[in-house]
Amino acid sequence: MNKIVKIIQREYLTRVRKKSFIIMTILGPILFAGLMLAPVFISKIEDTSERQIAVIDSSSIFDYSKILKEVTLLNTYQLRSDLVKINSSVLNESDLFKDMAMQLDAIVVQRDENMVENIKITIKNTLAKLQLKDLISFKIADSIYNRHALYYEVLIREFESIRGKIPNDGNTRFVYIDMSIADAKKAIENNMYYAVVFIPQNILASNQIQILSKKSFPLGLRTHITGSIERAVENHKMIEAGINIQDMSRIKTKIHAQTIQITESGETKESRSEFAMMVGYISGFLIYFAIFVFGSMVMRGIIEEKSSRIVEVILSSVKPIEIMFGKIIGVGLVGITQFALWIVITFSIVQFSGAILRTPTKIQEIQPAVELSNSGSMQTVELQQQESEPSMAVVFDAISSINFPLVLSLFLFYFIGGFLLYGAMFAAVGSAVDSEADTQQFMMPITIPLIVAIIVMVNVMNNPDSNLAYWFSIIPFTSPVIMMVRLPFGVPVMDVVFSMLMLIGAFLAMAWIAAKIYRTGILFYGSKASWKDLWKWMKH
Amino acid sequence: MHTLIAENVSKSFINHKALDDVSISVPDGAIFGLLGPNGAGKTTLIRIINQIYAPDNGRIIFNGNPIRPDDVEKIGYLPEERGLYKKMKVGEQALYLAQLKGLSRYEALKRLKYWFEKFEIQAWWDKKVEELSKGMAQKVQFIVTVIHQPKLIIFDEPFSGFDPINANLLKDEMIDLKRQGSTIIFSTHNMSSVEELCDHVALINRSKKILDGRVEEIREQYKTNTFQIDFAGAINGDFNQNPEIQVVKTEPFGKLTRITVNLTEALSPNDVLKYFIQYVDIHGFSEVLPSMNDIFIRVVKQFNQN
Repeated sequence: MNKIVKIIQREYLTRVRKKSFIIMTILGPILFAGLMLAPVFISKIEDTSERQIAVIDSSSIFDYSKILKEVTLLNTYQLRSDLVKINSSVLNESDLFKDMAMQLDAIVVQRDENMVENIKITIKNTLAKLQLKDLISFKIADSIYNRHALYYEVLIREFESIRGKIPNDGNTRFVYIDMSIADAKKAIENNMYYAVVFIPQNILASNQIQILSKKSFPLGLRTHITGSIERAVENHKMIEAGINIQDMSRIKTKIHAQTIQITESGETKESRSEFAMMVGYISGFLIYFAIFVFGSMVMRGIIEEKSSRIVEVILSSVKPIEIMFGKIIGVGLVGITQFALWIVITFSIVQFSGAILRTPTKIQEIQPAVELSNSGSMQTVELQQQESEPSMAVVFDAISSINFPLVLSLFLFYFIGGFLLYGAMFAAVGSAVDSEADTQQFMMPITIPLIVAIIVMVNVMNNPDSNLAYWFSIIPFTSPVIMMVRLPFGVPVMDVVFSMLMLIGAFLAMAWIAAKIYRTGILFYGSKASWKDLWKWMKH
Repeated sequence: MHTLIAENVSKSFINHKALDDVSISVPDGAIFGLLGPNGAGKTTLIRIINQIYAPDNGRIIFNGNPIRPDDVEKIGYLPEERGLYKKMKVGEQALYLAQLKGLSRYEALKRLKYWFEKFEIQAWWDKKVEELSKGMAQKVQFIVTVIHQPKLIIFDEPFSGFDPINANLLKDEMIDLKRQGSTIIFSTHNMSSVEELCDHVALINRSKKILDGRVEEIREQYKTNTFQIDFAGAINGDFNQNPEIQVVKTEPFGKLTRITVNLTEALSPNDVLKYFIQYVDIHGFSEVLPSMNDIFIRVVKQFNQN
């Protein structure tokens, strides 16, 4: 007994004193925080360059300038013929009308905010010039202006309200232009535009657009564009079907769900499945990660003893099973130490940053957000007004709403149980090979259940009470990961107890098998062991 | 009194029989040589004595009682394939291994200090094993084998891999340990070291013991009536006439000449002397006992033929 303590001590101390351990302990929480912040930084880096995407819209759903052009051209003729009716000598001023038509065309192509004003001014200027030449009176000019210019205001407003929009996304801006596809290609080559979106005239029927770009086009941006166009096309079709705009915006619905969990003590509390998911995901993944890292640490330690031939000296002093378990326990304690330090450091960081984030706003007592009141036959749900985006204070409160002592203590149990179970397997593999390179063939039974657990994990997060979730949280090879994922959602006590007992039982069985393999394998040198050998050693 | 007795020990592995009904007796204070070709089963027997393996049949008697798990603390073992933790410091490692043999930390430190001083290796205490040469590591390995002053010390092929200086040191230490009352078992191919050190030997071949006993007795038993005669000057006449005396070899021996002769059973050494005095001026006369090497080869060959 005294000797196994000595072995545990050595295994523990040599590892804890290693520089790599100390570095990992400090770096772990920082890396973890970095991992969470990385997407923010990456998106910042990506968005520094401003991108312009040109849109060529032949359908006029997004860009009505073509229609507007035709309208202004027609209007110019109309204006002219109206004036000719009043004074036929206006006929001689065709240059003036040509100028006006060109100016209006340029204004429409410009498509800027001052379009309406500029159109009005252009028409006013033309009329003023005619007035100066004494071809028309002020009164007539005014009435013609009212008839032909003010009408644009209404027209453009109307166009604007039904046109489809591709909103700017981050630093990507969309501009509408009129050019041929060939010119567009040239423009892309000259880096005038990041990309060109071509919307064909028959978009309503074909549902096809083209995106031309020099580099491969980012998926997110593509989804943004197709999404915007889909919405516009749908709206257009609805208008065609006779649904007006007011109805359309009324019909559009988005449901906000508030999920309420009734706990065993009868209280109601708002369940925050996102946070439960997050806690479940993190703890499940940490167990997976820990089993791999510390399990292979056990395996490497055993291979080291075997290949350096120190093991026979030790075998002459202690029993094989004592060496094996001394190592597994020693490494397990290293793992617990590392995790304890990680948790302490991470929590201090969270507490610290939480304190900083909370101080400016008054700390609010979060009451149970929902009260179920039973008034006769009518059940009304009173919703407390909630901010649409949760503030950091709410996030911290949600985090503290999870039963952390329970999660932590079960994390410890499943870490220890899972590690012991897999550690015994890793130890058996380590004893059967001469070098780390030979471990490959025996790793399958270790890696497959763990990988299956990770695959099932996503499903379990979405559906923590399914049969799949239940069985995988009972089967000892996956329960350390899957039970941790289920736990934050609330798990019946019976399930947890059953799962724990199964894990303990599986560990005892595996320890017995591993000890048998270890005893023979550790002094087996030279020829490569096979599965058949392992089977024989086990039975021997 | 015997420190160790192996009684009818058999051990089978999955594919072969490693030991077949082997019995040996190692007397108190003896240096016992365990001889045999590679793969004969020596290491298996040694591992059984060290309780690394359990025998299928037979038993081990240690100090008069069937061997118990605690007895590992009274046995020191230097395996054939020996190693140390490469990344661990020498002193720390020696301390660890000594404590695994049941010494208290204090006692282990005290004794290590003595041994490190004796071998003049105090400067290595804080060095990592990977910084040591092979010869240096061997000294450390030897120290941790004997640190707990075991009653029985087992060396498996101790001279393989040792450089001559360390091999000599080891021989001296073995004699020293014997003088202090330890019993030593060592397995070896090196027959000269057997003649030099061993009181007793056992020869194992193909998992069976085929010979054992005191070294002198074995050599006596296998002697071939061979004698050496050293003489000076010329030979008067021809001494190759007696059919009972066969001259095997004639060679110069310093200023003298040495001849080696084989006799038939009927002749005594005195007869030989009388015979040769007629022809040469004798300066020396001695019987040649077979070397352990010769006996080893002879017995193994004979056994393999049967």
